Amino acid sequence: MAIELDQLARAQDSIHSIQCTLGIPYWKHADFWILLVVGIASVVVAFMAYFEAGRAKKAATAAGKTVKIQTVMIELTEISQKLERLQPDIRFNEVRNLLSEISRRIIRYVSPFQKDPQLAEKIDILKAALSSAKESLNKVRPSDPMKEAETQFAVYYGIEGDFAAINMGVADLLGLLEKETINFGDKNANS
Amino acid sequence: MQTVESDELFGYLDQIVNVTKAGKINWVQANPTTYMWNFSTPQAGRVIIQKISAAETFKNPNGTPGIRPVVRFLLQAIDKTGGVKLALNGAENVAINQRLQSVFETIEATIAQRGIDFLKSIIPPT
Repeated sequence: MAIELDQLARAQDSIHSIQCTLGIPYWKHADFWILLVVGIASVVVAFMAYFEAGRAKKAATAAGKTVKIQTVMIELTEISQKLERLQPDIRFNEVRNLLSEISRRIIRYVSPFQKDPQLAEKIDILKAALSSAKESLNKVRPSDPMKEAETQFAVYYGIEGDFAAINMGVADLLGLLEKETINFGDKNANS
Repeated sequence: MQTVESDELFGYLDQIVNVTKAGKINWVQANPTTYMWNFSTPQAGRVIIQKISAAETFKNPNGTPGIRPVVRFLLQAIDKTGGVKLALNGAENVAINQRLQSVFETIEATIAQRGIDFLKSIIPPT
């Protein structure tokens, strides 16, 4: 009987202890605040990671664009050097081949930038110069290819102005592309 | 390239126009924009006249760059060794360019007329 009373008293103590614990508001528990701080920190870190990933993606895209621009610049520089090496005794078929090659390459390299507001105007001028060169070349097509040498430099005189315009257009475009890459570098340096 | 502007030179260019009209010079079309006159007396040589159309970049009144065609004429007198004895470039002088244009157009018209005359001569009478 005494043992049963003792067990009952202990059970009452336990119930009382539980009642006391339940009676304290949850925000007065230390573990609540620890978990809250950990939770908030997790959310902040997750947001920071999200924004950093966005910035990294943007930087990677811009870096890819810069690499592409630099590749185009190398190709355009090569074309410009080719145009500068034009010799006065060049023959009609040589000019035809050269014009065909540089037209194809220029159109291919500038096409991705056609809708770029900074470059569109220069690209249009360059394309107009290419069209003009094609027309000028047709105007010096020899009536008799065997006698082409008799009219010395006629082909050169006929196309030199247009080729100079193409070269100027290429140089103009190179300058703008160079500016684009410099701007990209500056933006990265600031960020 | 030599630049010559004188009454004497213009006189010779006018003389070329007149003898071309008279059919005394046999101009040959080397390409659509170049005519050539080969001669052997009093010494061998040739005269070449070329019409050159080129693109020129320019600024529009609103400041935007554009491209426009520019036409100029070039005349070369070449001796038998192939050396250029005289070169007149219309790009260097407007007056010379106008005179060369006159020479070129006369040659063009004469050759066109020659072609028409040839066609006329081969068509049987109706």
